[in-house]
Amino acid sequence: MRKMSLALALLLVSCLRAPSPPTVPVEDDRTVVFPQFFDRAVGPVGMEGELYEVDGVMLRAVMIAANDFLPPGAKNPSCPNRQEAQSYRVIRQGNIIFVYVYENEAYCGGSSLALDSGAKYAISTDGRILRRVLDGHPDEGAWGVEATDAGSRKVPSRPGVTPAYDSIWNKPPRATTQETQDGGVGAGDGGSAVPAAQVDGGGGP
Amino acid sequence: MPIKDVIAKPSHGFLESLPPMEDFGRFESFTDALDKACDVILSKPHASVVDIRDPELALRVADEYCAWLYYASDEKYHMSMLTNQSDGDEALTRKKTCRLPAFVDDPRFPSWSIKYVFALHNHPFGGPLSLADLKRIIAFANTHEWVVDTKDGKVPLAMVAFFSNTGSENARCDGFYQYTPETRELVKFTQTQGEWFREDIGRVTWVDEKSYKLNGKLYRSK
Repeated sequence: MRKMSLALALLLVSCLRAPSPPTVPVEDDRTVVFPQFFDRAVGPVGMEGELYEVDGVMLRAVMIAANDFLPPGAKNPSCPNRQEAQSYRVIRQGNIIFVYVYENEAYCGGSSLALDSGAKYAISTDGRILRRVLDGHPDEGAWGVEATDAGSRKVPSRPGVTPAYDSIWNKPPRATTQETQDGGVGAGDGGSAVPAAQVDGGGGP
Repeated sequence: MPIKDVIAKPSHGFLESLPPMEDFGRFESFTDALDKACDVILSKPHASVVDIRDPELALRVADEYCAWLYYASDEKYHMSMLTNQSDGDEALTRKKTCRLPAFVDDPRFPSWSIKYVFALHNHPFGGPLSLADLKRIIAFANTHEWVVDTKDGKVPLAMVAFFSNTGSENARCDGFYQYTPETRELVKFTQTQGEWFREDIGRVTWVDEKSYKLNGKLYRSK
């Protein structure tokens, strides 16, 4: 009887424990365009001795993003996977609050740095997740780059050669004639040569 | 279940270094080494999930692998073993990450002679480099060198994220995104039937350690 009472008591306690927040469905509204989160310096909320007022709708949006990205309720989550180990950038545009969640590496320390450990959310002011894009996922217009000729043109190149190093690693092959047969393509060649006259390896800014 | 050429996270802590992948071979040029590295990484299970229609399933099974391409005192390019180590409880989150150790431990070469050239990983969903990717390669540049000398010329350290447009097992290597901290250039390489092309996305201007602008213009060297 005592054992049964204990079991009943445990069952009752688990029912009384605060429930996990309900999951918010993630819509996939591709018309939502994310703003740039990192194109300006920001001051952090939480400076020692400073007074802040946080809008409730903004706070709820951050909570929705945090709870979706790192659902609470896990037993003993690893340090990097705790909500308090992240940073949150927030910007409001009209009826949408945009949140970017990313790892605050100073919180947990460690020498193995994580790649692709963030996510961005678009949350309506009535608490719906309009769109979510995790790090490393495609996002049209992610870079917010103005369309320029330089940005959209594809040029032949050896893989891994960044533009500033074209003159070293993307040299076009020297012209050959019957009298001056050239068997090489200059320094740095370990693979195929780049077709001549198609790579812009020079020119000023 | 062990995956060939992949070292999993230890039961406690993290890998601090990666050993060499000896059957990768030695390469005269980094371009050829990168070409092969793309195939190697994308051949691993769920390195690309673009073929999986169920987004929740895709997210659940996707895996990120990371490794180093480095230049050694034999004047050749080598690749380290891969790892897919993360924090161990990502299954309970939306995160999909790889924690790349800062060092390679190749017993064939003195540690001081190893030159780090490319930090490699894959993006299972094929998207661009993230803020975390940019910050990590800058941190690695501060640990190692921003530019290394090789017998054929200087090679700058860069972060690379491979992707496939087809997915499934032994996914075809369709290209990669690359960021070079020394020049701050952000580019995208794609290949079609063995021919490689580059698209210049822009140059990053750092406002502070975690804020940046991306300028569509690129300044080319004379």
